[in-house]
Parts: sequence; C-alpha cells; structure tokens
Amino acid sequence: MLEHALFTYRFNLGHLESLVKDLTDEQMVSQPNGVVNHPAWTLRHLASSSNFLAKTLGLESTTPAEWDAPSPDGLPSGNASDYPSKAELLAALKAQHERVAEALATVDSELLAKHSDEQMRSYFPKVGDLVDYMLTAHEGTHIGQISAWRRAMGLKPSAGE
Amino acid sequence: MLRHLAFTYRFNLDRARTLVRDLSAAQMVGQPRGVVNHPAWTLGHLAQASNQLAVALGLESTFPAAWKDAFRTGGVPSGDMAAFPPKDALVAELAAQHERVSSVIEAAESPALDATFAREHPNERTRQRFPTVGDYAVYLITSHEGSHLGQIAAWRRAMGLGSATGI
Repeated sequence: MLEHALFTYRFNLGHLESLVKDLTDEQMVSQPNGVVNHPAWTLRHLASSSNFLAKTLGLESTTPAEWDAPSPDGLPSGNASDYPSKAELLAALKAQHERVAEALATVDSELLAKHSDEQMRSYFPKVGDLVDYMLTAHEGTHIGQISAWRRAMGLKPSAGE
Repeated sequence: MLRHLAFTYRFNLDRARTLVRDLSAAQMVGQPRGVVNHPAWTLGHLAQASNQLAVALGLESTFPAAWKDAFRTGGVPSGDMAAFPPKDALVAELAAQHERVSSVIEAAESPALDATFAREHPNERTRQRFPTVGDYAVYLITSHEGSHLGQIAAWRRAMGLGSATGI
C-alpha cells in the first residue's frame, strides 16, 4: 500500500514542477486579487513540510530554520528577495522528496502505529496519519492553491486542471 | 498504511464541510477574478470522482444521472446557480460516496485489496497517468481531493472571505 502513497508523492512533485514551469521569479511572488499564497512561498513551505516529515522519520533537519519562521503579519511576503530562486526551491523540494521516499522504503510499521506527538495529535492521532496526509493531500491542497492562483493571475491552467 | 490513507480521506471530507459551511447559495457559484472552479462545481466533481472510484472497486454507480452535465470536466463551470444542486445536497452526495468507498477500503482483507490495487488500471488512457488501480485509488482519495479543496481555499481569498481552515 505504501508504494501507492509514494506514487502520489511523486505525482505531486511532477504536478508542482509543471505548474511553475513557465513562471518568472517575479511572478513567483505575485499575490493577485487577494490570493496571497504565491508559488515561491508554497514551494518553500512544501520543502519545509517534507523536511518535517523527514525529521518525523528520524532524519536530521536539512532546511534553513528561517524557512519555518512565521511572517510578522501571518501572510507570505511578496518580496522576491525573501525567497530563493525558483530553481533553488524546486531543487530543495526534490531533495526532500528523495530522502523522505528513501526513509519510507525501510520504515518500521511500529513507528507509523505510534501516537503523534501532543502538538499534532488533535489533528493526526497516529504518526502514520500524519505521514500519509503530508505525502498526499497536504501537497495536493497547495497544488490546488497554485492552480487557482494561476487563474487569478490570468494564466492558463496547466497539467489538465 | 491503509487505515492511515482512510484517515486522510475522512480528513478531506471534514475540510470540504468546513470550507463551504458559511457560504450562501449565490456564493457557491461565484467566480471571482478568473477563479472559475467554484465550490458547487467542486463538491459535485469530487462526489463524481469518488463514484468512479467506487465503480473501479466493484460497486454500482449511484451518482445522480441528472447531475452529470453540470459537473463535466475540461471546460469552465457554469456560473448559473440553477444549474447546480443546493449545497446541502452536494455535501450529502459527497459524504454518501465517501461512505461507500470507505466501506470497501476499510472492510477488505488487506491481501485482497492489495491484489486489487496491484492490478493494471483497466482504462488505457487513465493507465498512462496511473499505472495501477492502487495508484489511481490512492491519488483520488488523497491528493486529488486535496487539490480541489486547495482551490476552494484560494477561491475564498479571491472572494474576499476569510480563511476557513488556516491554509
């Protein structure tokens, strides 16, 4: 069953790459018509989320700590200089995907059956609930946001959306 | 792993309910600033997708035939409120489709479901994107639903509404 979840995780990465393929670095931080979660913030957030997943699976953190810091007003900054380039963000996301997939290939099923830590437990009772959600629907949610963001930008939807 | 995937499927349904809870009938078909996939279309589309999955898992189709035209894919959804069922009916249909897919997934003996999921997807066109029934099924109950719920979250922003879920 894990292989099908990992298929979705790979599918998500391909979908994300296709959604930002034609965007300039300037477009990457645009916030059109109130749609504030732009692609640069989203890619960084997803790389950071997979890094969190890697830590949950027992690996070391490898993303900069400032990627997890909340912005002062709770909204993503629209300043391009606050983010790595698109190429760097995609490379970081891909690297996190690779190490999470590698770790899951040998994961102990007892770890997945454990209770989540107290902070996450009200949403995700078990570690496996958290892991599956992060691999699949969490990324999907942000893919959908970029898809709608493209519409708000007046761009064509991509990847068959 | 299967029960964790079923958890995500339930999580998505809860999210769907939360995202539309405060919307009026007119808002349900709003298409603000080019964001054309409104919640009415999205809920019906997700119910239809779960119905397709139910059929792939061996159940009969129960998605209302009269609704099919409203939820076609590949174009721009109509913005006419009269073209869509009311919100309560859409949420009820989505919940009903979830329940019957979950009943198959959660009741099946794991080896039996593993065998079903390992089969090649029978539709040649679908197989190009999703090689096995399991790849298709897991994508539909997790990331496909998530992506459309994310569209509603962004749609809420474009409508000038607050975030319903903190995303």
